[in-house]
Amino acid sequence: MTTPGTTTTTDTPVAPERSREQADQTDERPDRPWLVVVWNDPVNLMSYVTFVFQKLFGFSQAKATRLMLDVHHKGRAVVSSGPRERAELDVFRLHEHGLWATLEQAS
Amino acid sequence: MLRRRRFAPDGRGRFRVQLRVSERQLLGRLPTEALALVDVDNPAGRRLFPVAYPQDEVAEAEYKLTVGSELVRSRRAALQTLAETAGQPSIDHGELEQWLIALETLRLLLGTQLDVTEDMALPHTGDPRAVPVALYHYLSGLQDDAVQTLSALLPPGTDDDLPDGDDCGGPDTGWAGPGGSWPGGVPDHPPGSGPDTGWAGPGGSWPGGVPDHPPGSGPDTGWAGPGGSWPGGVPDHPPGPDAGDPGKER
Repeated sequence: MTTPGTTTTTDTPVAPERSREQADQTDERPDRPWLVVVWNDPVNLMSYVTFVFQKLFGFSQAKATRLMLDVHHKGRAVVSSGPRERAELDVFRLHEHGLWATLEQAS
Repeated sequence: MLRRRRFAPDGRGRFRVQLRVSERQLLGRLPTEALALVDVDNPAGRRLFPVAYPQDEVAEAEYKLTVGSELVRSRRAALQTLAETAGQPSIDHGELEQWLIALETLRLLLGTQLDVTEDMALPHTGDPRAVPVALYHYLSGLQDDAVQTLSALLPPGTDDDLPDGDDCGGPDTGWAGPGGSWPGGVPDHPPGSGPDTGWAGPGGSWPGGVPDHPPGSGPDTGWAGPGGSWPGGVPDHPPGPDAGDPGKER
């Protein structure tokens, strides 16, 4: 992160508590991790996407650039994975920064 | 082409904002006009609120219910910060980060209305899209400046799972990297528009259309004025894939 704690817009907890019923409906195999996918879009600058990856995930410039180029050339890239609440928080932070991010459960 | 550095660290934790008066006026006004579009129910702002669960309507509705108001609040706060600090000689780190989000918001709104594509050509002078497209590119250049300044302050970060033999990227990407220079294909000052070129967008929803030519940006801005040509210094072709453009749109 650039300067932890200074960006008040990125540290709001958002992952909702999901009831067992809801979880059962969606998570057929709750042990499977959730993937955070970023999709290519024509508006975001390549430099900006790289910066956001570095800032939000603490990636090196090399890794952030590689992921950005994956998005650019392949149309999408998985940038993080983990428990649903954590993945949803990552998606929220990416949405705050204008990136086109979705959640999907690993197959 | 060398460009002035528009966000220069002053060595005391702040950044000197090196913009023309006309740019400050534009950046003081645009965010205020855009505020009304930042709403989850406004089609013009749909790109600001991407779908998190494309294949699960229930989960998506729950996600929007949980984060929608916060996404609106944070974007509006960024726009307000830009509007309120556009006239300041310097801003702090947090404000520069807010500028970045505000510029992103403006570009997403404008890009949605223009239906931009990765290979969007610059319209000819006289094309009703010429002014908003120039504005879009101006905001892109400014956002890229903010990115370069903030990127230089990032910690090294980690690349623990970076595989050997990177199979993507490489010199054929045309991307010059963070140290690369903007190739000069983008105006570094805002476009203006005369009273007769006010652009309301395909949906006609940008409040008040693209702002008029800011006062005080006469000949010294290099801008030819209402009805005139593209901003001075802009080549007659868009940056190509080989231009080494760090800000190339994805």
